[in-house]
Amino acid sequence: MTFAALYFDGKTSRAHRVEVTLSKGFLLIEGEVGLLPFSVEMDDCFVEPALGSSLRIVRLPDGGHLETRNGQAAGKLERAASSSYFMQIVHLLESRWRFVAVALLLCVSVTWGGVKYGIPLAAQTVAFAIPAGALDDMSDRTMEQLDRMLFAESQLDVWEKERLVALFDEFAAESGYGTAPRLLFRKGSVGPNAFALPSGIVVVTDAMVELVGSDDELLGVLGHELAHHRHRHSLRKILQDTGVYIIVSAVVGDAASIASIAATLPVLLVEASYSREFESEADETGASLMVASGRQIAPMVAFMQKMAKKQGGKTGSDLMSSHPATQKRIEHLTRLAKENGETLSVEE
Amino acid sequence: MPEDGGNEASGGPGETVGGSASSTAVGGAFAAPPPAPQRFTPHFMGTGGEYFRIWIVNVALTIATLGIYAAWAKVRTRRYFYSHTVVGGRPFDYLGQPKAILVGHIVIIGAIAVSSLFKNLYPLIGSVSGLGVWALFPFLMYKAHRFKAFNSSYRGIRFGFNGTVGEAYKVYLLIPVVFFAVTAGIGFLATLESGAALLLMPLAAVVSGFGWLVVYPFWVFKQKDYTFENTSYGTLRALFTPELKSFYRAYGGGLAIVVVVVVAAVLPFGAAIAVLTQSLKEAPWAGTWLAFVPILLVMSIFVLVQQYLYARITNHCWNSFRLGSLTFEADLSARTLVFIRLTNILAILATFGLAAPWARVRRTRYLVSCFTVIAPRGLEDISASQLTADSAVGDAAADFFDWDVGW
Repeated sequence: MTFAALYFDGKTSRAHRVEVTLSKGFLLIEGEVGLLPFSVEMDDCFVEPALGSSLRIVRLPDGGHLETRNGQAAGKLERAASSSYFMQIVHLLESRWRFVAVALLLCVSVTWGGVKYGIPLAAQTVAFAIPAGALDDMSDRTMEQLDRMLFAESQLDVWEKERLVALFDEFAAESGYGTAPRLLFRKGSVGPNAFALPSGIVVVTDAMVELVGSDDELLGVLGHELAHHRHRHSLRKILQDTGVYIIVSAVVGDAASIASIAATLPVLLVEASYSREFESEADETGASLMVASGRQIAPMVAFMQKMAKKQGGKTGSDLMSSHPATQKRIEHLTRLAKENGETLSVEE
Repeated sequence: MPEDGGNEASGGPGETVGGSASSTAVGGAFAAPPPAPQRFTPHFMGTGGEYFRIWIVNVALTIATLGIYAAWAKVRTRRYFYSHTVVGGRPFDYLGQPKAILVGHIVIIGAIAVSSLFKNLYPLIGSVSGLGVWALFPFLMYKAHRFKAFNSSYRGIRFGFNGTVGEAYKVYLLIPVVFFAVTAGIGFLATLESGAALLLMPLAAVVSGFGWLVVYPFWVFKQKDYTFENTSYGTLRALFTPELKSFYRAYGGGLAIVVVVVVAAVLPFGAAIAVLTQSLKEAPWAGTWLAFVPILLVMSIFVLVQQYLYARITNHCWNSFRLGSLTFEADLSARTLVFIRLTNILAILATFGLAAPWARVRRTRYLVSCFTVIAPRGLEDISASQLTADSAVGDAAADFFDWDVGW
């Protein structure tokens, strides 16, 4: 077999027009005047795998190379020389639209499945494997930072705080939750708020204590936070967000600079949807703690309605928000209350 | 530090060094070197459809192999962009080895995984590991430059990078460290001397507030100098003669754009949105989508300034650059770049990322067409020089952090 190619010797940039003949495991390279014919053993050559419509390149043992547009000839050399079978398959995949369609389907389904099931499952496994000591350490640090940046000391009456802590302990025991974690009171600019740190410490703002209409409403809020801790939500959130970031940058990482801007949006959307799932799970578990402690779910509903009123018309769509739109949470809790056989006073 | 722009094209306009004879086609490559200087305009021959197929197979195989194939995917992508960039009828050639890149990936991803886990679990240690990245940044940049140059070849002759690690630390680390030390020093003095505080306090405020704006163009200038001055092609050595004031003019222009756009567009626009949001209480769903408008607006301004700077600095650098007897002309238009980038982003968002390959091909095609190589004695009599290979750790780091290693 003979084909035309360009020969570069790797020492100068000059191109030599040559004729290449493959026979008995050798390549004979003959060129124009000024280039002495020479031959190389095919085993010492490397044929670069085909890539789209690129020129085919044969690397010669002395550092030179051949360039040819003759794909058929290159294919024959590929079979005669050392070359990567795997890359030949890759090229085949890239050349046929139906394989491309399969690849596309695989990408879409893996991304969707990974985000929906894979990452949450992995995060759950890891979250429950981390020892409690590490969580305590981490939470203490977080609390130190929050105290420095956001919070001041609580202005609540000392006796009131003692009473609430006792109530919280009682609630945890009655509901079958077990030993209650520490309950901390803080005054801050974040409005009525309550949250659980990974170690279980529950923090309540003064504004929250003032907003609730009854002890049971406060216990509803605290039960929600206990549920977050039981499911290790805060830790899983950190792990899941990291996972999504890695997946998204892997998928769109090819166009890194565009991705850095455009990828923020899907990442935010996915992260917000994780939060919403955690919130409704916490509502569900919180409600069951209320029931188990002999209380009703109705106070939770009442409290959510109070929050909704406080937020005013700012209900918004829940696409971006971390908590499901308040209205949806109210509906969810109302349904749970009805299943529990409670009668709710209808909001006017 | 991740001064972006051209690195979307797998190696910036670096692949475009060389030249494609605009007068002589492929046949010219075989003719005897003519006496008159030849002008070569590079062409990018890749197509969106072809690259899409390579891209999607790359992504699928990377997923299927749990990321291991990413190294092969990278080589395939780079080879595609190199081999479709044609100068004087001859393509560029990428020589990077997937296995070397795989090792680089493992090292960098491992380091990042460990440090990001620490960052989440122990914020304090996390910030220390952030410092670690800074301490290694110059070394990794040096490695990345060497890897990229060594594995780029044209007409069988490799490019080379002759910068040293010491220089890299001077350029990438010393300048910001000195700046922050001076700022901190003035601030510290101001707290010590109550008498001088009156004078020093405002000085500290000015230095820390505006100082970086003044230092940054100089920093970029030194980085470009490190990159260009140390590049070689075969035995051809670089001569890089940029003007510092051009960098200041470019960044001054960028600042002016921000000011003008904010005053002319953002303020009235923001007011309009506020009014709209107020009146949209009835239809809350519209409000959420309205929230994307500011994001798009900020993104547009970012793109505007980024592409403007990229065009001006790239043009200036290449117009002040020689490789032996080869000289270059670059004529990027900021307006075209902005248009391409914005429409690319919209296309990518609208197709959930599927338009990314097409977008990249489109941008590369434009970038490549903006360069000219002037070769007084043609491109046929350049000799190779002795070079040594390097590991791909810097290459992997530069890729992951989106550092600019562009020529």
